[in-house]
Amino acid sequence: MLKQLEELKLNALRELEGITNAGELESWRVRYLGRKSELTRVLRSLATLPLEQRKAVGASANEVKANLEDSLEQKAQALRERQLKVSTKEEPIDVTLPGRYLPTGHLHPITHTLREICDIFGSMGFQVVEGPEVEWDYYNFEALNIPKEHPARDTMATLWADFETESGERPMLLRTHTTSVSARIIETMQPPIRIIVPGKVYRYEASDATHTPMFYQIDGLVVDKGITMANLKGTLYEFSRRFFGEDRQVRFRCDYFPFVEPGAEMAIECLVCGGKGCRLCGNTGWIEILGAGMTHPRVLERGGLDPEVYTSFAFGMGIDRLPMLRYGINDIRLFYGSDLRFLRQF
Amino acid sequence: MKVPLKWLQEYIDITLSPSELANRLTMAGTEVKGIKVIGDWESIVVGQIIAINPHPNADRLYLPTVDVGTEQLTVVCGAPNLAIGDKVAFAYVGAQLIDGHNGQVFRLKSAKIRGVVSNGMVCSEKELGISDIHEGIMVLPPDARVGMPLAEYLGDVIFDLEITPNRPDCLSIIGITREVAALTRQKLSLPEVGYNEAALSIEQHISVEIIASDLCPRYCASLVTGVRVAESPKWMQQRLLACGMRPINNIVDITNYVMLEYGQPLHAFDYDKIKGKKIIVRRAGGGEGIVSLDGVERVLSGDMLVIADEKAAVAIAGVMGGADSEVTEQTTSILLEAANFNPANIHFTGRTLNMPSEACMRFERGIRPELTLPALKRATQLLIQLAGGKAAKGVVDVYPGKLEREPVLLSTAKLERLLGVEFSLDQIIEALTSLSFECKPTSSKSEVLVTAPYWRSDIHQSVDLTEEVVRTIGYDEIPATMLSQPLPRQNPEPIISLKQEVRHSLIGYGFQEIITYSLTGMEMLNRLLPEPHPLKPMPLRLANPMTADQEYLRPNLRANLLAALSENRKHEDWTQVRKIVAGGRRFT
Repeated sequence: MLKQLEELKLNALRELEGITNAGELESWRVRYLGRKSELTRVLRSLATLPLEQRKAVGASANEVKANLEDSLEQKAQALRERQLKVSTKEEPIDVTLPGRYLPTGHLHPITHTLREICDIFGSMGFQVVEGPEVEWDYYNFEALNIPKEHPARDTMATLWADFETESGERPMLLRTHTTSVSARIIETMQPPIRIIVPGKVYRYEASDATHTPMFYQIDGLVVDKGITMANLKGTLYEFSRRFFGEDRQVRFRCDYFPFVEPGAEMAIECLVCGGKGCRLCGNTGWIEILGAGMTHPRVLERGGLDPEVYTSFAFGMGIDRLPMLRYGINDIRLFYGSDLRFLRQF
Repeated sequence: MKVPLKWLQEYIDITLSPSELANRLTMAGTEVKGIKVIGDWESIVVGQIIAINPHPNADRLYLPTVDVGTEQLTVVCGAPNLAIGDKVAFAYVGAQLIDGHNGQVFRLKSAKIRGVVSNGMVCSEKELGISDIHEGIMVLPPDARVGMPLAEYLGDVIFDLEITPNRPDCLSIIGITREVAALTRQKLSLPEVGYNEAALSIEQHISVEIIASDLCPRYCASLVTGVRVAESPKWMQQRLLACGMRPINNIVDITNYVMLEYGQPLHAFDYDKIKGKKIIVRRAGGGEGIVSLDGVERVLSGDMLVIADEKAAVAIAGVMGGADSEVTEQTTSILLEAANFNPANIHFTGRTLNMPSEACMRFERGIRPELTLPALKRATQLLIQLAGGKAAKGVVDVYPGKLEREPVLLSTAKLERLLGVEFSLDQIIEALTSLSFECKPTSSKSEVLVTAPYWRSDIHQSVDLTEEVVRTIGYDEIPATMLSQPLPRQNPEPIISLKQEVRHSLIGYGFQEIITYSLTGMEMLNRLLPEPHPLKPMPLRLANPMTADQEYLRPNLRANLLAALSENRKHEDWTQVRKIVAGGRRFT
């Protein structure tokens, strides 16, 4: 029996040397170490042997088994290495390696919001236009029906550029609203006009949870023959439907801005209380979203357009409030604070 | 502006609930920012003390019997000011009150005090939550009806209104009443003004000369002699307080009261302190000084308007009176001014001197000169009624800036062209008439000639009338129609989409976008330079920076990025690569 085992081992090892691929190696394993192999048969028959023989044969069989298993492992390793050498020679890229993780960044929540709004108006044929942030008093105020000493100037505390004319007037400022660009467009573009103006605006205002000296607005302007207040309402309701959702109630009421007449304000039903009244909406149930109206004939005239020929509507809205409402952000300063922990969430 | 409902109700019947009234006003352009209910008392009524007996077991307690209409109740009370016949606030058992000692809210229970059962309570102002007065019980005016719920007698609803700058006429109770009248299609009844005059004509007491007629279209004055300066009546004080003004004395309170009522600021001079018995309206001499009512010495510029007597300025026109001509307890004769001033000039003066005031706010928004006379007469009447004076005959009325009101032609077609909805001429006339506009028919069936009422300063052309019509009929009547004109040709600026693409690419590479302030400080800018040398070229500076670190417009975004890095180092692991990108303008 011991001799038989020795023979089996030698045969197996001899055969193993001649193996050149993984398939052959597997059939070798089945033949010599598998469930139906000679070695397994010997190990199974141990119980039938007399005691003194059982010890010697058992030890020897186990030794052979361990030897064959080791050799198998070595052979397998050798085969793998040879395979690798061959394959790297044939194709230098290892397509099996896992990829490296490359995290993407995030757009600022204001950028997201601006893009969404510009897309909505873009689909209604509005073209995006930009204009200067350092602006003339003329386009920011005068052209918009807000002469010097007009009380409406008090509602837009202005940061003035340190530049005086010979008569001691300060003609330049940081624009207090993006409507200044609409004033420029009326002067330079020929109707039909359908534009939207996103951008930064500035106010002399101390920072707190709801105010910053710089924030974002979007202004819209349409000039053509036959533009009506019904068109204004339709356009704004469509915007609200797409931005705030189908079911959000909308209110369109009379309001005053010097550069429109009739003037209007659009509000939406409060997102927190749904119109019942809460702290966010000051117990009114409504949240003001934008100011609007039919462009004042004097504003069109000043820009060289005949109000008897053309009619026009305009609207303007603050942007920062929209992501604040949508994401429940309670401090506007977070937008301009560059805290990555905050910005990475969008 | 704060508007008490009860004051409105004096001129018009209001059947709408406060919230519905607020809604109508808001929709029509006068936004109601808040509604405050005063005195939501329950189980507290007006009672009358009909007997006072001493407490059998205590020296300092009394047993007043109070008639509450349906029954007579005896309670235990320690107030020192009990008097038979006085009307008082009586709280039944179960009423909610404020503890006079610790300020806590409590519910009144029946109690035995030193052996006598007290079934209710006579209340102090503090216990009712009206004021901090707790030295005695509150005595109600004699007109209070016994048995009436106190909430009905003293309670009120205060509307907080946001008046837009184009409607100075609405900075008044009567102005708001007119709005309510139009929105509910009701008639209003204004206070009747009339008084007896003395024989001697006012011209013999005072003369008025307007030198700067470009800045003062109208100056009216009346004279009331023999007044007694004292506290104004309680009802007037309460109304002033409800509207956010502090009662001072009957004279000043009357001027403030009429300003709130009519929207016309008034000023009371001590007539005996006017030198030369002459009022001159003129520009201030450069460097001219005046001590204003608040005791501050003001130096005026030559562009500012003053009211002066023969010697010196006695008031900064439309902004504040002077201390030298102030009404004091010794004052017996009042020269009452109701004038109209150039809005821009008043705005300039108020802003330059940093003296915002209720008067200033009304003048700078352009109240009408026609308003002076009705308000002057009303205030004169109240001076006679409440301060016991006699009016000189007539009023002074210098009116160099009188302008005829031009009617405006409005047509159904013009309205429809702007609104996109058709209203009939009848609807238009009905809406405008409800606002007291005068509508004259023309030969055309689709046109009407419209003249605005004298108090309106914001009606100049047909678009103004269009708004009046549609806001009175209701903005809800405007349909929502999509634009149907052909799409304009698009000429997109390439830079706009390029910026977007760059932003997106960088985000794809792992950059986090930040948005930073365009304003920065010199210290920050200097730190960007390799060694200390002056910044060239100098960045654009603000004339009125809020802080030193927001004084300049950034010449580049480097400082913003570095600041963001340093800010985030506090909580970020910077051994890992971090990428941030800031878009925005640089100013050079």
